Amino acid sequence: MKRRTLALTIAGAALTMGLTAGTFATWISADTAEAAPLTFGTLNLQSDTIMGVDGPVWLDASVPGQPVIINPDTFLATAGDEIRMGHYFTLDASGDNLAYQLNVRWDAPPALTDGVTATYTLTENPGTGTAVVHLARVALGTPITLPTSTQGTRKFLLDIDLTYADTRADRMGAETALTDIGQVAISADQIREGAQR
Amino acid sequence: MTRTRQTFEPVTSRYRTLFAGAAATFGTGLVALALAGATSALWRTELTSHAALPDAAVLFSVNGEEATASNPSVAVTLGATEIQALLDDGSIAVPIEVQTLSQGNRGLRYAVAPPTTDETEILHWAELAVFPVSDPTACSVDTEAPIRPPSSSTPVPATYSDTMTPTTEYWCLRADLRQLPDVGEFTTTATITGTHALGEIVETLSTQVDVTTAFTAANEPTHRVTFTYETFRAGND
Repeated sequence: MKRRTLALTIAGAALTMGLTAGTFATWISADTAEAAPLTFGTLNLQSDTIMGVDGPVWLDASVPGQPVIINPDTFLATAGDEIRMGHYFTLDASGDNLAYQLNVRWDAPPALTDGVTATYTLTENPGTGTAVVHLARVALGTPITLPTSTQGTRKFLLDIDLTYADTRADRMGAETALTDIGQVAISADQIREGAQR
Repeated sequence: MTRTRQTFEPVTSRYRTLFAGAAATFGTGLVALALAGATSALWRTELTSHAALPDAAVLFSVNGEEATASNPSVAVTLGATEIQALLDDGSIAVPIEVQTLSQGNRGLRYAVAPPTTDETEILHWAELAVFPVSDPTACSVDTEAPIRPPSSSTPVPATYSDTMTPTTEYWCLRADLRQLPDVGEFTTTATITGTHALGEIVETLSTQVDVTTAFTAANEPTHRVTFTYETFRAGND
């Protein structure tokens, strides 16, 4: 696997740096895609660009201040590694009386190898003065449902952190194991008016 | 749930696990949710992602014997066969092959410890050296041991590596037997003094005996040259 050193070129109007969502806020792009129209309005989730990647970006953040973009399928993790995933996305909602909830859930649970701890953080408006941390460093696999909203456009950052303990035993031989983050599903679900307010 | 995949070329045939990992996936979708009792569909839009990161592998093999996560040491043994050869020929040379691999962000280094002996053992009375050589053929009884051979090696640096090819190094164990303490010539002399009619007689008798050793290879304990590895990250080297 070839790894490429992070190029700190930020597309579009990069948001100002903030610490509420960790370092990912530094590399968030303001670019968004067209929302998909619904018959009576719009309810859409769209991945945004972060560090030049459209969709989740994975980093080897083992060396402070020197993150390197990696391919999680081929990166070979070992004791002492700090691996991070950032998924920056926009929620668009419009329509008369359209109410919805944002959910983060796991359609397949995470399966971690020994010596690995995994948490995630969900931040709204990351890197801005109005950042809201909805959930900070909770165990991977913990679902969350945000309060029902009718707000039109919102931006979120889902940040997953994998920590491989420095004391973790070496994986001997050719057979290895996989640290599986599970099937992560972020959804915006329409709520019938008057329900779950 | 733990799934496995292969991360380097098999060293032995027992590593035949096929890749069974799941690729990172990312998707988006807009679906209509039909709820029981509802008269119209509710909408859901979602983003999904999945990834499974493989572990880096470590290999430390000495003459084909592999270290384990719980025991990072592998020993090359000198038993009765080698000791008998030392007694018979006066010298032995044992080539040693060390294979190493450490993927990911960790390097690998190892140390070599020669056997400890005491004076009741044959090997104690030999000049013993363990030193690196370029290839196995460079290890013979004619090979001169360096004066101060290294006792460790760092074959894998801590820079990120995804290689599937182990690094191979060779060492040579040389032993040259000095004289055992109970081997050699033994001479005893006796002087007899007597009185004869012709006067006093003094007779000196000397007897020379060749002494062979009481040391036997069968009584020699097994000696171990121990190779111990550790992995390390950059900055800890």
